Amino acid sequence: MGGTTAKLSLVDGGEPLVAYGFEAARQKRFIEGSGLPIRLSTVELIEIGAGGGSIARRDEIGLLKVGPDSAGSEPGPACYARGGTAPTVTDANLLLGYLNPDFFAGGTLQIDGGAAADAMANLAATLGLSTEVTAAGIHEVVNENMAGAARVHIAERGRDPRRYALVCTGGGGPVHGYSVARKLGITRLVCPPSPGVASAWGLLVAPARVDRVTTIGFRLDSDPLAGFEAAFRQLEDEARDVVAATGLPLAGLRIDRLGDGRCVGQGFDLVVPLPPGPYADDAIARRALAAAFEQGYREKFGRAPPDVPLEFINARVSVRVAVYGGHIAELPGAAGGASGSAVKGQRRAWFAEAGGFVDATVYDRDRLAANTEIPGPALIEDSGSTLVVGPAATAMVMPSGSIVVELR
Amino acid sequence: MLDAVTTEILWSRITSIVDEAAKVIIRTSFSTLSNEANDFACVLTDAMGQSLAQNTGSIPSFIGTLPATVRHFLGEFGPDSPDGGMQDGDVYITNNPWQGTGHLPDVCVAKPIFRNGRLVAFAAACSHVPDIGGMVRSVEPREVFEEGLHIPLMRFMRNGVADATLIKLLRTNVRTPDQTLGDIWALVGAVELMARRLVTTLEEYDQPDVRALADELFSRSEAAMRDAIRTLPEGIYRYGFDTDGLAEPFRFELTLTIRDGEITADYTGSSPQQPRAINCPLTYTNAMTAYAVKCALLPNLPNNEGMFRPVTVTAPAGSILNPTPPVAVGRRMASGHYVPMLVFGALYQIAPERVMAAPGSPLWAVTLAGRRHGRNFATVLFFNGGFGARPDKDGVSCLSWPSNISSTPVEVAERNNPIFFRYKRLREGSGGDGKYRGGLGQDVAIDIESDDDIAALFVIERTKIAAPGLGGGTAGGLGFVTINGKAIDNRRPQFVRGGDRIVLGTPGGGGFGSANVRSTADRERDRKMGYVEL
Repeated sequence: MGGTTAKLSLVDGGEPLVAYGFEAARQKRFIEGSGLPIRLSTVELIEIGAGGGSIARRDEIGLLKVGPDSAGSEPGPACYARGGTAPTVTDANLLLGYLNPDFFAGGTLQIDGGAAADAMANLAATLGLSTEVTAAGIHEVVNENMAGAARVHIAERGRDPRRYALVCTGGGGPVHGYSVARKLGITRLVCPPSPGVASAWGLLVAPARVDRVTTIGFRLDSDPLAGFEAAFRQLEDEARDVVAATGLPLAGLRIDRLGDGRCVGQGFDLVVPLPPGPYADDAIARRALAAAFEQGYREKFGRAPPDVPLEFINARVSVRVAVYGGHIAELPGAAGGASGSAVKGQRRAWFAEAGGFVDATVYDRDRLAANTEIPGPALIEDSGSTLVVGPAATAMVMPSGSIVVELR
Repeated sequence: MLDAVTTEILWSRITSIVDEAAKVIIRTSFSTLSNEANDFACVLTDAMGQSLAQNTGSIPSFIGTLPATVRHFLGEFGPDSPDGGMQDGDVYITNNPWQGTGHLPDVCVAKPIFRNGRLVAFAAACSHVPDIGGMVRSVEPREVFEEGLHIPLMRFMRNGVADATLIKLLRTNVRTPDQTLGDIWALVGAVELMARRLVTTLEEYDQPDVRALADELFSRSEAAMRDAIRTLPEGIYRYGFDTDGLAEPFRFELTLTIRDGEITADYTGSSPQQPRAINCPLTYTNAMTAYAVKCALLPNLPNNEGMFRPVTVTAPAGSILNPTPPVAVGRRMASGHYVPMLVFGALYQIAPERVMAAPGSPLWAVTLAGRRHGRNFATVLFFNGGFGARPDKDGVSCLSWPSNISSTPVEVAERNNPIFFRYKRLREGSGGDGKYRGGLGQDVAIDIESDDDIAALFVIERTKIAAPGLGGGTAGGLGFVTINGKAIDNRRPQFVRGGDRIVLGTPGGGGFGSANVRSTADRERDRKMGYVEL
């Protein structure tokens, strides 16, 4: 979660789900269908207009709405004191005690609680609610927006959120992760080191990957397999050449074959992993391809495909090789796992399940040693974000530097 | 009473439930109508069949009619009914045009939702199945008996068991039993999902039912609509136009009365019902009126029951917009789709900045049916015309209104049918002139590649009387269809086979404002882009 948008992706067994189409330049309120469809392979992300700068307002029927309009960083949230008067998610977070006015952006940015309170009071008056309830409402509404989008996406993918951990990054991810996880029934939160720059780090360590696709229109029961196999070979050669041009050592090169399959007569293709090649032109290979499609169909729809002929519309190939780096240096452990010197103080922070404001211990993340256990409520600050740990949770600092929060 | 935050949270949650269900339909349906053209809808209602939320991409008509269908199920199977009323696990079904959406191909399914033994809500979904028997999209039928299998208000499932007799009858009476039944099962999956999710949500928020949410939502939305109506000057406003009709043009008339924060739409003066399948049941007329009022007055508010309480729709019994059973209604959209423009034309007189000129094609569709590789096929292809121009912008080209029907991609159409698209391009000169130009239609040429005869049916309008402009804007271009270069009677089924070519041009939208004040820059751009004939 950043300043204007929040994004979510699903990662199964260490592999992010991939989408084979993408919408660029969404026009209206980030609504699906309002952008330009582009056929390319991408890590599947949903994106909604929910960020630290998202503006809270009263809508036409007097309900509290948050975003997708954003104050950006100019003028920014009211608390930036750059002329913004509309209350934003960041203003709410400040008033709810999650943010440290003396340590925002590592202390490089002064934020003004008074300006946030004024903006919040104006909105609260129009809603007929108190400032505190309004700020808490903003936090809850934006979390509901994120959870709602996540729910629809997770369902679209046929998964159950309760089986996932939530990794939170960006300036806002660690602030909102706890509440979003609770809404989704997720019981584990993972906050990597330097979460505010996690995307940049990810870019540096992600494997080099090239995908290629070709439209083939292959009827599994009747068309010769040689053509299907040849299509894959050609795609693999093309993709391998591109990866080779990066200069990376190709020893661990991984090639995956996929196919866009469907029951003849259905309009929707399902991209399924296929067995590695080569495919001989025999019944064994055909049976294996059919089984791969059936497996994918079952995973998605929870039932066997109808007894109709199958076809593969597209052949796909994905080639990847690891890049240098990605090794995480371990944090030094502290004797006894105590967190004494990392404690910065206490702050009142708002938690719905505690009935309102409670005392939360504030920690300096950079001073936390590995294997430190931190009970909620706690606020773990670093220069890019604050990890909010609610009363119904316990945080553990891992040797990797990530903090894992277990929710009860 | 729920506050502004809790109401928003709950409503947001309910909307995402309905959107999830829509995903299920798209993914699991068999017909290209659902998965490519979005011709379906999902809604959640309270225990009285009053609409709480609809899926984001739904078609305007369904969201007005579907809650009404739920109320019909309640009336038929509610607590006072002979077999004891509704039970948890029941699923109901109908495609009755007067109680459903207006014609037989739209199958509606509803599921009562129970919490702690009480009926608290309904999940409902409907979609246009690819075939329901009868004469395929023909305008010829005089009575609904000729139009296909009619499923009255019926129970489809009880205790997880589907009515085997109904399924057998369905499979026997439609050309595409697997696809039609597959789509119905997709609807059942959708309503079951909505039911599960709603119960979970109510548990999470400790709500015994949706009453508190519904009361908040409806009262706030109703108040917002009344306030919006009150910004308009009270009075009586009339608008009307002719359309192609059949042998003779049809007349559509609206008298809009605005008084006391309420709007009454009276369609007296419109043509009477016809001995052909273009009659439009009142439920559809009502939905289309509500939709147009909403677009003009409260476009940003998600639809719900409360919003439409201040809107009343009437048409005399026996009107083309309120026909009496058992007249034929298969092509009811041919009439019903004109309703929103009537509302806009009336509102133009008092709120010109909130409306637009007439669209070229409410809807243009070509149905092909025949045999291919030894099996029956039936398919519908949509082609859109131009939007009407707006108070401050040209009309968008090739976009459907008032139904947001997406067109069928060429690749999909060619894969599934023995046809080849020779060209598909914007139709030069088809936008009505004005300060702002109407949107363009499109030219399409389709070559038939089948050895067997294929029946081609055209559900098209504005081939004789063009889409009118507003405020001095001129009419859009007329649409046309030819087969092998010859004009055809587009109200009758045509038969084509390999070697034949269908060429069609969809109508353009009307212009807005006087052509005399169109800017030079806009005219130059039109010429440069090929939008106008040079």
